[in-house]
Amino acid sequence: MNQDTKHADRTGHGPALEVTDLIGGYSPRRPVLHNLTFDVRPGEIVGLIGLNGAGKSTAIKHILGLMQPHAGEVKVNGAKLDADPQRYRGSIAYVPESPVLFDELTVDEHLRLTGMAYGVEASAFDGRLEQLLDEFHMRPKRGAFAEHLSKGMKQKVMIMNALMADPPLFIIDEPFLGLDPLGIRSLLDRLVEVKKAGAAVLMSSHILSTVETYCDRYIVLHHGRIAAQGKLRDVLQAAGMTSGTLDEAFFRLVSETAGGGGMSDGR
Amino acid sequence: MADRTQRSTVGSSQREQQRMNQPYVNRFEPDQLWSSRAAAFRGELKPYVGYMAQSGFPGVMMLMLILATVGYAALVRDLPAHFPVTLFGVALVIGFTCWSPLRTWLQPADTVFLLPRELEMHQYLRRSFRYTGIPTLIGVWFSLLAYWPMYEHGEGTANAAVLLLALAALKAGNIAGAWQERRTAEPGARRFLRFLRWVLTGVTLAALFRLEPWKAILFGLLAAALMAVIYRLPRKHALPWETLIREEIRTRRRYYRFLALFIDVPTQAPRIARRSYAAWIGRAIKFAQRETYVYLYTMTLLRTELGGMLIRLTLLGMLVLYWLGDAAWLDGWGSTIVFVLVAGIIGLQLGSLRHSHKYAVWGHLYPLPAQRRIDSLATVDRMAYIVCTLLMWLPGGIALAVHGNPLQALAAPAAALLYGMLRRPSVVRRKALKDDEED
Repeated sequence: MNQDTKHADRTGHGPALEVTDLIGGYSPRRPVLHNLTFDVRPGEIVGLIGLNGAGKSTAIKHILGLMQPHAGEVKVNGAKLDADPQRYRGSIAYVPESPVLFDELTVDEHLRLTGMAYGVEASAFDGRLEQLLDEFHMRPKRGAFAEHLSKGMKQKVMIMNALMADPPLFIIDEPFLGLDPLGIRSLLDRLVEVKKAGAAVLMSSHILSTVETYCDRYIVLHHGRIAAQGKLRDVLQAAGMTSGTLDEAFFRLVSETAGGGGMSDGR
Repeated sequence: MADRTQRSTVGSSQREQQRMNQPYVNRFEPDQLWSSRAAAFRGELKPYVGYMAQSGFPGVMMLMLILATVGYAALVRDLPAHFPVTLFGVALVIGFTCWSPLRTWLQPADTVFLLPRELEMHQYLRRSFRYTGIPTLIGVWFSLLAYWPMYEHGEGTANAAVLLLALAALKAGNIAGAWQERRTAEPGARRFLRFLRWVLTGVTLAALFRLEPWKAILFGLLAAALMAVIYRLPRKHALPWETLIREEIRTRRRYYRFLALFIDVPTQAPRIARRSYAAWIGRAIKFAQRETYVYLYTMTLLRTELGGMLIRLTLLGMLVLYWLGDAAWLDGWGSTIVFVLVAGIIGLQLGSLRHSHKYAVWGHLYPLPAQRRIDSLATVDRMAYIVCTLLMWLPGGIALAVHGNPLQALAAPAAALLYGMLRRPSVVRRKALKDDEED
């Protein structure tokens, strides 16, 4: 079957995700996203931060191809969705904000399905499965159905599935909600690992201290526009600060009275 | 609520009046809440019931009822010498006697909003008991009425009035027992108690239909006393919120699954059964990208209620076709007719597999061609159809062949095979594509 993508490669050159002048939203008359331009390169973790309703999830839906941009384009691993859907899709693993599991599959079977869908080699599958079960302490639950998993465990299953697919680009939406401390640590350890192995990660979260520690760059989204992006000093600069934490800079950028909100591209 | 209005000043009584006019504000009206929820459910089903009525289903049911009546009348007229009259009666009556459903309309959110009112829920539940208790009692009496012509051939000596009263008492006991089971905290204990209740009720029914009434009644009373003692043993909830909510979800699902045979209905989360004995089927599917949806649909078929229904239909078909084949009814062609009928029902049920995963977000995200899902659906559907129909045919077919009717033995499976291989996949594909276009 030549239409099947065998496990998409990490190219190593060029951004894993490239968003250019993206305008989008549900209704063309009322765009939610205004001219977003950013990229995520192999070997880096980029934090997408913003208040509730800033447009983070909408931006992610556009990247996933679940929503159509009004203007602008999204490229994943060099491919556009309509030009090469298999390559595009095979390059992304997605961890949704609220876990979406099949009721009729056990934890093991979810991983098997993901392994099949992403064309993981049969020989590599078993090893990866066992490793993930251990890492996320899910071995006792491997035969459980979604109905019998807690919110945090379901979230773990989503994360394990993304890691099973092992694509060039991970898109992770609010991964820490409901996750226990061990789960958070396993996730962060693994993200650092996949990053070192050359994958790109776009992660949205409200836990700014974690974002500051683990992300290489940040995108601050406010009212559907990029209020600041770049390394910590770029974000601080956009907020009119010379030193401080991401948390303080973010607070200044999103409070209307503060001097923030200026456009900046600090790369 | 009259005692609440004993305020003296005009102003406060006006306020009270206003409050009374607003539903559920500072006031818990169990009766009103129950009625509005029951009405909401009726309203919810109303649009779909019309489609069901138009589908010819009621006509078919009517026809089958008439056929069953004619067959039953013929059976009673020439009752074989050793016919198990009592067993037949127990089988006929035990369903309505033991089965004691409870519509409570409770919803998951009720554990937040109604839980604080737990002590006032008696009135609410009383409505539920009446709502399901009375129809099942009528069902019991109707099944007794159906049994009556045959009962007169048996050894029973009880007269109709005694039986009517005894069965009403038995029904009441079962409703009370079922409630204690719902309250039981542990699922294992709950299942054991239910099993015990069915067994003791069955024996009591057999005694009623066979022995002198006083003996049967004495046995029934002893059984009731025994159950009353046993029901005291397990840990119990005062009000089993979670059990009732689960039961409500199951009941709704059953309604919708039935209506889904006639028209698209909102999907309810499926009920899952592990069916470990069939786990090998999933493992047998090759670990390969092109088999992704074959795997998913196979697991769906095995684990959801659809699989359970197909297994039951196949087993029932095997049994009935074996009887008919062994008796070589209508020169053996009788079993062909029944086969076509049951195979048709299997095909109809199996058709609902295409509604699974239609809206699953992963379908959009997996790196697979869009057409793949529908192709795999057709593959799984074809396989399941052929396996079910051939299995169903096997015992009856062998019986027919042994009795020297090879043509009758082979015609039906050959037709099913041809239809399943050649025609059915394209029908499934076309319907699935049409569904996709409509969305």
